[in-house]
Amino acid sequence: MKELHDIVLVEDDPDIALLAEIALVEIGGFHLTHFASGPEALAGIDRLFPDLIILDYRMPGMNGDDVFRELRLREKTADTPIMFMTASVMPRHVGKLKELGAIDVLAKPFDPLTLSAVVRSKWQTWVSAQAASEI
Amino acid sequence: MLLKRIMASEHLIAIEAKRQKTIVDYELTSPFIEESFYNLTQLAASIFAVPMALISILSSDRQLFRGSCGLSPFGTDRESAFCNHTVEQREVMVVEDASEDPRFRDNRLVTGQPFIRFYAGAPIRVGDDVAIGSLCLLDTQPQSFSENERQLLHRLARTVADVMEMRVGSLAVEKTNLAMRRQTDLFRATIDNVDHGIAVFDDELRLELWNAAFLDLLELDPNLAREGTSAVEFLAYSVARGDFGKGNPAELTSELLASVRTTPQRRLELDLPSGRIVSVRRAAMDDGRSIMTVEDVTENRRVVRLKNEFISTVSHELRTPLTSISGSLALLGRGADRFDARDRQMLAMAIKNTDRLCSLVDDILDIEKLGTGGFEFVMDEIDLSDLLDQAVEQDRPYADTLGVTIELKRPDRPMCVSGDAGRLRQALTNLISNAAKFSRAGQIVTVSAEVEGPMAIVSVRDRGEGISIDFRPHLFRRFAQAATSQRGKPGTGLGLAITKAIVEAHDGTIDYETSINHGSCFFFTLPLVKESAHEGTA
Repeated sequence: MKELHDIVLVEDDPDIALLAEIALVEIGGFHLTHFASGPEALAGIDRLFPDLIILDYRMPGMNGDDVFRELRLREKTADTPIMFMTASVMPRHVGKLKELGAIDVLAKPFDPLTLSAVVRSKWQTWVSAQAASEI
Repeated sequence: MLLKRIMASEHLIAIEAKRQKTIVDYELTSPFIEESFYNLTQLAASIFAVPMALISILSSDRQLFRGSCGLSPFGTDRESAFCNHTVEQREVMVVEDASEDPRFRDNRLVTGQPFIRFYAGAPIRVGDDVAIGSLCLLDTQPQSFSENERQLLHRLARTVADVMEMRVGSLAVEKTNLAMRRQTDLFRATIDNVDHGIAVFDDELRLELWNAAFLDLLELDPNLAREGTSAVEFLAYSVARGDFGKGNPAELTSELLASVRTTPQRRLELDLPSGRIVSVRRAAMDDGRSIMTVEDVTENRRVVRLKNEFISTVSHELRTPLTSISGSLALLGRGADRFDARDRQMLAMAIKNTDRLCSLVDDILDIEKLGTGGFEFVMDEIDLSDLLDQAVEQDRPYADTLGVTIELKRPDRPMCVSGDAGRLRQALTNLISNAAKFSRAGQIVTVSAEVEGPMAIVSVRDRGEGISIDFRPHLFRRFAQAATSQRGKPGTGLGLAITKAIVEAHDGTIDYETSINHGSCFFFTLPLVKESAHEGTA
């Protein structure tokens, strides 16, 4: 079974980025690349082969969903699983993000002690579902 | 003798008072000649071939000439009036030669202008047989007056009285008409000067009355505003414009018309092409007509939307720093064994208060969803025992800090309900933390569940001070706590409003019993999933 290893995080708030890094790298043991904005991520992501991209939804300049659409247009990231992270947990909004094609939506505030477990489990559920649909 | 005279004079005073009241009631107090009365005096003078005839009314200090032929129209002082004698009798009074009559020979109307010699007067009696004056004939020459003439004059005086009766009747009608006209004018002025649009349709739905705002606010073609325009035309116009959404215009119009005919009152909101939002209210009146009022609510809706956007943004902006704070505290807590007791206490305090802030933000967001109908539920089959366990566990640390014990009476058999586990837990923890908050240290809060028919009843009982009568009506209202400081406990005042909304969304009801100094019990019902309502699930 494929394992989750490389994660790209796009998050403009440096404090939250640091927390996520501690949660995902120190506690979760993942390899993490952090970009502080959508344009930065789009410029740098082609060099990487992430298993998962986590996008903050509300970012200045380019919102998470704009970044999402741009990533989907690119061949390299057209099928990469993407999760959103958002402080807006309105079900309508969460539904919209899922409709867009996100594998899940992580709510803020998140618990750094359990974040990596949550991310791993959501990712694995998605991978299994993908595998099932390919058979 | 003296007594008799006193009684007689009292009787006269009473008669005089009645006379004066009747004169006022019959609106005869004006000192001016009136055409119909003038004509009658002319007629009398010519029938009886005398130079002067009068219709004289005895007001309190003067005799007023309401009709006068051959004499100045100004009346005289009351004292000189021959009529003073006439009104005291039922028959015609005749003075053939006043200069020979001891009652009148010194009268200034006899000794001076108009030098009356002959007088014949018949009392005019109106209303309750009250003599208010007389119809009289005068001459400067002495005359005799036959019995026939007396009768004729008497009948003529009755005709004058009849004219007075008719006149007062028509004056009353005129007054009523005037009052009605004033009412109508007032109504018209009112509807023309309010911001609301108003229109009245008759029992066959034809336009009867409207104001300019009605056409303005609904953005209707002014050409439609004719008396008698059918409501069908207005509906067809609005439907064609798309006010009622897309669809076959003819069908939509007839559907709307059917609804107008079958429902006595209705309120709806329309988005007009200009962007204006109007609230239209229709109500049937008892006589079959209907009244429509239109209110521009664009600004209200805009404010509500702005408020909701504001709440949403603020909550988001609060959550971001809260994420950092709660995250760092959680990470710090991981290594708390490195700290001394005091530092651990500080850390616990920071964590506790961050949690409070987080739930406050959650509550505010929830209440916004309540207001906009955005509450959504993920329904599952839930065992109430689990729900009770989880909720009690969640609230126990808080109750501990207050020295309050939570006692859980688990149901003796599985009770399954269909619901959103997270939301139901939220509803229950709200009730439990409230109960703990309003208990004193050492008291017990009891949480229990039981089955009653097809429903589960979950109750949370405290032994606190109870809910004051003043506060009870506000209990389930939003920001109830904030609006009344008397309870004096921290909180947003949103918890019970949210709890109620959650319970009601699960087809349940919520209520409470309370007694001052004995505590309160909040309970809500939830419909059981079928099997557990009867025998319980395995």
